[in-house]
Amino acid sequence: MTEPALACSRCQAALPWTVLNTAPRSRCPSCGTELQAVVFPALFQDLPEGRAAATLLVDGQSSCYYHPQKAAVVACEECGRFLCSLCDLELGERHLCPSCLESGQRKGRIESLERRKVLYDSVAFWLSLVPMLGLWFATFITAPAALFVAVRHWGDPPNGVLPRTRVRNVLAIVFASAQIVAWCVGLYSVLI
Amino acid sequence: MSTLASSQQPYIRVPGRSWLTVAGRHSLWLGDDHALSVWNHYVTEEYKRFYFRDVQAIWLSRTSRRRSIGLVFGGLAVFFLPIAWLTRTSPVVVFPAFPAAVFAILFLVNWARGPSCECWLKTAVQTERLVCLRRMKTAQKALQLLRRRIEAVQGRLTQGDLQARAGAPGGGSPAPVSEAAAAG
Repeated sequence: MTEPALACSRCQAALPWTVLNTAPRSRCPSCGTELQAVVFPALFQDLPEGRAAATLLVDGQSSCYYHPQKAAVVACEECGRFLCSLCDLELGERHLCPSCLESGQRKGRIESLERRKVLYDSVAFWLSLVPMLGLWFATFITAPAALFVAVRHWGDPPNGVLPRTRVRNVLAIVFASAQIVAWCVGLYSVLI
Repeated sequence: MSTLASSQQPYIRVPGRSWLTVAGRHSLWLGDDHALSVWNHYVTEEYKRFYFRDVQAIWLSRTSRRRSIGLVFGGLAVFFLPIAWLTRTSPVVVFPAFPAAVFAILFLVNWARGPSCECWLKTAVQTERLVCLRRMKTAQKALQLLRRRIEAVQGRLTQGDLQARAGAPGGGSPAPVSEAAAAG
């Protein structure tokens, strides 16, 4: 019998089956740390093997765009090219070809592949706020920059995967505008 | 408009949030078919998705962090209290009394939040610590939420299934669970 690949995070000892899926809690047999471990059927499933593409057997049968000798099994839902089992990339419930997947990921059009996003509303907000906390002279540059970023990205689709409001954008515009007005007043009073 | 552009997926935030640090803040969200781990680094966000069909295990273990934090806050409160007592008739009493009160409140809040823990999530290809789940109470709530979603997709494994598997020398997948059992 093999032990499951779960280890106590304190003593690193492998956890035996007896402490798994117990209610409500159990203890690590090695160090006595209180723990609760839940395992799911996926723990015992083998990783699926890669599929092999079927060779064309009949003349006139649709073939894969990328492998003309292989039979097509599905069409790419983005570009419509016929794909063999090898080129058919399943993304959730969609079937895509490798090039559409790559371009979609590169251009950030596939949300489920999004790993990192720049939050422009936060950029504008911090750009308008941080210099006021001791780097006042930097606002000569950062205030217009914050205003530009906030206005430039105002109409963007919701920034980030999670829901966000426009409150940071609004605050950035208010702070940056106030700083620009202060600079204008200051320069006017010095020069005139 | 490309068909690739998907609509905003509604996410539900899982209880528990890490402290706001220089590195940012971590939180966990539930989507339709996956849990989303989010590291907010102030101006960027990093995402990791754990699809419910892929999650193999989640476990949490108690840590001694609450005691350590309690010792620090309690120690600082105890340090400032006698100074405040000695200067109680002087106007400067505010200088030791204020930090003493703050540290005493932090000590009590830390104590009231319950035991601390670490929570881990395992898939076939990674084992990830869920940094936002740092207290037993919130971690258990989150665990229940995650467990319900994952079992709705994969089915449920009971202690009996595990013992049956442990008894079988060759191993083998546990018996599939019926939809009704999974939903229940």
